[in-house]
Amino acid sequence: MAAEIAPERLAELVARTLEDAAFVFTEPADPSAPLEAPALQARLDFEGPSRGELSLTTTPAVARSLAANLLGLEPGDRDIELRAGDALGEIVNMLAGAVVLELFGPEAQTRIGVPAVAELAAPPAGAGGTAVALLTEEGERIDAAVRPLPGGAP
Amino acid sequence: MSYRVLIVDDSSVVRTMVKKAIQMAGLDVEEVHEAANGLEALERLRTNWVDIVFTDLHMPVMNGMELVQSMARDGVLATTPVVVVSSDPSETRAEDLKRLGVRAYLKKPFRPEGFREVIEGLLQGEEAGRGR
Repeated sequence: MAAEIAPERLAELVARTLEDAAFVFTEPADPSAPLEAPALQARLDFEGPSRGELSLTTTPAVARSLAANLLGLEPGDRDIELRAGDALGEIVNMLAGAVVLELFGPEAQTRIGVPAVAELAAPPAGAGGTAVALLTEEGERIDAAVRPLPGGAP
Repeated sequence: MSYRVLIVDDSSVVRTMVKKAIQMAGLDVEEVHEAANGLEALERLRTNWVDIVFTDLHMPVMNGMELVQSMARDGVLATTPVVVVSSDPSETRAEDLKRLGVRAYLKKPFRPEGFREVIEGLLQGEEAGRGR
């Protein structure tokens, strides 16, 4: 059976990662309200006793904040725009460490994939698993989802 | 005394973050080399003197574990201190890396204070043996 994570716990891990890594503070939001497009999504696959996919979807404004805060860039620096996608990818990578630990524990043999970042023209449709939504202090939306994938170590 | 460091990560964002954290930790850095994966890192290590390597684990082409294994097999590179900077939570992997000679393991997200502690610990051990 695939390991699962409770929505409250996933929201807690997302909030803590954003706060610790990038000083972005969030609160829970209603996941049934759709995220506005265009959105940026970073996703990666992971594997332990079972396989899964972790994604983080947000607005370009949040991705820019992540880049500015992770890299210590001043407002207006053109690197903020250029590195927003990479910053979101790095946040999903950091979050993956916490999610994998939560799902499989510290003793499990695990693998975390390399993040892929894409711009979404339409909001992503739900596809099972655990999905949560958060709002930044500026009212910008961040969605996180953990979904099972077929396969994985027995 | 100044140091030459190599930062290995497929994310340019993380390479920049590590570079800043090292500077904030107070390490006197003479040169910073960067590589996007283990294979690039080995090329840099074979053509440049490096005092400390900071590497991620999960990278395309050649990952951090393979890099550490290659360095451990190399007569010259085996003694270069390696610090792993990764979000990987596996204690089993951390133990494997220690057995291969990795000096420290910094979990992401990291804070500059974490770097300072690791670097101070490393340098206390290295200063006596460093004849340059």
